[in-house]
Amino acid sequence: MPDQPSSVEIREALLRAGLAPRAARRAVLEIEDHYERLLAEALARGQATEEAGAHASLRLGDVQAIVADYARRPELLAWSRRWPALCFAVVPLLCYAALFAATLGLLVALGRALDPYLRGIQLSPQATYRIGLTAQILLLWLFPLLVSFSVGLVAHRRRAALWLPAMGILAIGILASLANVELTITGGTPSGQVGAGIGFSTDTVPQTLSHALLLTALALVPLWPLSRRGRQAEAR
Amino acid sequence: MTVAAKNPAFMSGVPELVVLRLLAQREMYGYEIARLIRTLTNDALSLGEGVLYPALHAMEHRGLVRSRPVPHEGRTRIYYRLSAKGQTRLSRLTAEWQRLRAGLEGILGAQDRA
Repeated sequence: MPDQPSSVEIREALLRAGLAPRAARRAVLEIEDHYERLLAEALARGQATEEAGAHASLRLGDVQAIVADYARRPELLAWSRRWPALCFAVVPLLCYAALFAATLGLLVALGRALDPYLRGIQLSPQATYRIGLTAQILLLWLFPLLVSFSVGLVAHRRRAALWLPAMGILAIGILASLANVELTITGGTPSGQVGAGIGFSTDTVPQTLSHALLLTALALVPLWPLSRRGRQAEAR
Repeated sequence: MTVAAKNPAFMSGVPELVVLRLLAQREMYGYEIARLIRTLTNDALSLGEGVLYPALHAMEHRGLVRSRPVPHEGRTRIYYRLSAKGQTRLSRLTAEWQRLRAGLEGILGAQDRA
């Protein structure tokens, strides 16, 4: 597209204006097709390539004006742009809570199904400890990180400002640090127990804080270079 | 300079009416709509043709038009057609503009007679 911003630049501008990636792709597809038809029309009239390109650009209009027109219509913007707090904080928190609850439910169901077998065996204290630790790592570290990475990825794809996902990620980190889970499988009778809860104790403030901050930092590290690259692209 | 460029406020609602009217005839894609507007209005309504797309997408979002992708020479082209809701809106807009036109003709005619 001579005399016109490239498709990538138009798409980037549309994403920054708040369009969802799919809507931006479609807009680029249509704008590009329109430009090529205008160009072909001018060439068919016998205009030279450069003149035809200039004519097509003039007819199509300023791309920034098109982008601004999209931005003026809130109904065309992605829901992450219209309700950022909901998208980057509330929904991720709910996702983490749902994932946590579903996993606990699954563990309880599995425990019930395996109870007859577990009653007949005796696990070593080491195995019991490892199973409990695995559940804690999964529910209090891996799941929050998984949800946080997803928030970051969505924010990057939507070209959202970094502080928006950062707030959501911090909220997930705090929730995960306040939650606790205990899975004890010993075998015998009773064969084990599952427990979970959420609470705050002044005795464990340093541990809670460091858990929350470490989770936030781990989730934000991969976002930082992406955000930096985005700012550099915007500056160009 | 065109009417649109000189009087953006005056043009409010016109692109919607024009697009709906054209789509009432047949299914079209963006470039076809723009070319028809250009031809039928003798360039009097010529806007930057790119702004047709936000308008079309907004109309689609409001349920006035429907779209479908059609493969064309290895690419995808989006065709638009009028919906039942769009037909109702077109009838309302047409009636409003005809009333406005009659009012303006009354004023202009009176001035000519004076």
